[in-house]
Amino acid sequence: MRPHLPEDELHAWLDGQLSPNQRAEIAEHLLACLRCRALEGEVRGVRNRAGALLAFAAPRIRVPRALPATLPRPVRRRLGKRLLAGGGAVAALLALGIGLRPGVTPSTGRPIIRPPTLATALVAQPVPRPVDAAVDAPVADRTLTLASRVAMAPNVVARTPVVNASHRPLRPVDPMAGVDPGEGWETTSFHEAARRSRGALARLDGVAVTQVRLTPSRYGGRPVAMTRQVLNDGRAVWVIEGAAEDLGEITRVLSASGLRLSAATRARPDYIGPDEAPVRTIRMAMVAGYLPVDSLDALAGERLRLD
Amino acid sequence: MAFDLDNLYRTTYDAVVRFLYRKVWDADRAEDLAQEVFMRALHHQPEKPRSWVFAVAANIARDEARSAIRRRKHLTLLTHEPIASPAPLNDVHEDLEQEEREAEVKRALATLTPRDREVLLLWDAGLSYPEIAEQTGLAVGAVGTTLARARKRLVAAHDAIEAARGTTITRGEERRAAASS
Repeated sequence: MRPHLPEDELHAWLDGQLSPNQRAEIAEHLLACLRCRALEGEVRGVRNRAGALLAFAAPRIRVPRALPATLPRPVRRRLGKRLLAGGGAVAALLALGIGLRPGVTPSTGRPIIRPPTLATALVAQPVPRPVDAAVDAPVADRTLTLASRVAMAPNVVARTPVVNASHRPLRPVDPMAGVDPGEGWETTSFHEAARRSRGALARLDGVAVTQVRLTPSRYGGRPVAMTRQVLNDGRAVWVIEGAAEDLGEITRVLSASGLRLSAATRARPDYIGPDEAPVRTIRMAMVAGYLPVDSLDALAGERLRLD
Repeated sequence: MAFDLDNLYRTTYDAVVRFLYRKVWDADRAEDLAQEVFMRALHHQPEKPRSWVFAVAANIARDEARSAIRRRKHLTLLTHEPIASPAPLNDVHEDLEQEEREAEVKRALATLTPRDREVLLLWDAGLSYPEIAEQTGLAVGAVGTTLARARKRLVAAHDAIEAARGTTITRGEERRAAASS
């Protein structure tokens, strides 16, 4: 096993800037090393606080104004063509003479829109555009601030009835569909899994469960469980629970597939071995998904139920 | 790959304004400068547009800081008075609290070295380690080290500022209590 992890590597790990191999190596090390786990907690705290502080120093006026109208003529023509070729609704509205006011709520006077398209900015006043434009996602993922975490909270933690889980409309391509930690996994119902886990199946409270997979622990006791749950917006997350030694290999496979993992939380231990000298095992639980690490940590911190 | 200014504008505008704001500390000016950045991008059509806009934003902010110093000197000569800021429109307490917090962060940021501050702001603007490395001239491996140091220093400086403010408030309260008794 490698010596303790340096602090800057943990920053890079939390920032999602390491290669899959490095990620797997660190995940494995963290599962086995208490000291580095403690340091990771500290680094995470510093990182989150720095992000939150920077969020305070953000401009409050968020309505971009039009670009100066001093563009050279050829460029303006080109942009105009692009706008028309794209069949933009903005151009159509402007052509029809519909005078939309910039995105300001009449009651409060507060700006309600995010950046308009460049074409809009060049041609006229900003026109509201859908807030959930997918094109914003990569930037939003990486510039996760306290404010954006608060903004996304309703999506993440809203209560969903488990009964209708199989009928929920999912995204056309579910990134989790292809994740398979290896051979020997058995798909089972939630109730059967809960029974075999002796009523202590780790899961996110209030989030629909769509699948549970179990595999026997190599160290005895309750099986290792992967519980697939679907958030309100259709994104899937896995809650992985098992003996610390079992999880090392699984997290390595998951990390290599590009998944992000929350910090590991201690789950309910098992007592294995003879009655006169039972051994207390260390079981851990964590949340995996294609989400920012902060969101996974928030889910694990606020919703993870270990019974 | 074809240069797509429309997409660049939509995906990076917010981050560029935020980045510039933390350099010039004036929301209107930051937006003006952001417009200037995208105007230049339109002319240059850079190959790596995301890195390019932040490099230009950093240069523009540097020029702006120099001219701001010149303007301030000139105004000081003319008026000998500070320039009044516009009256707050929203809830006064909320605004004051926000301003106070922002001022603390601003002071904490000012304690960082220019390199640490630049790396921190670029990361917060959404650039990856390789993009930050390319822009700052650091090795990719050194970005993590710089960022780790910058975050720690920012938090420590902010804690120190908050602690000093707490002491000042306590002393003020003590003085008021002594005066009233």
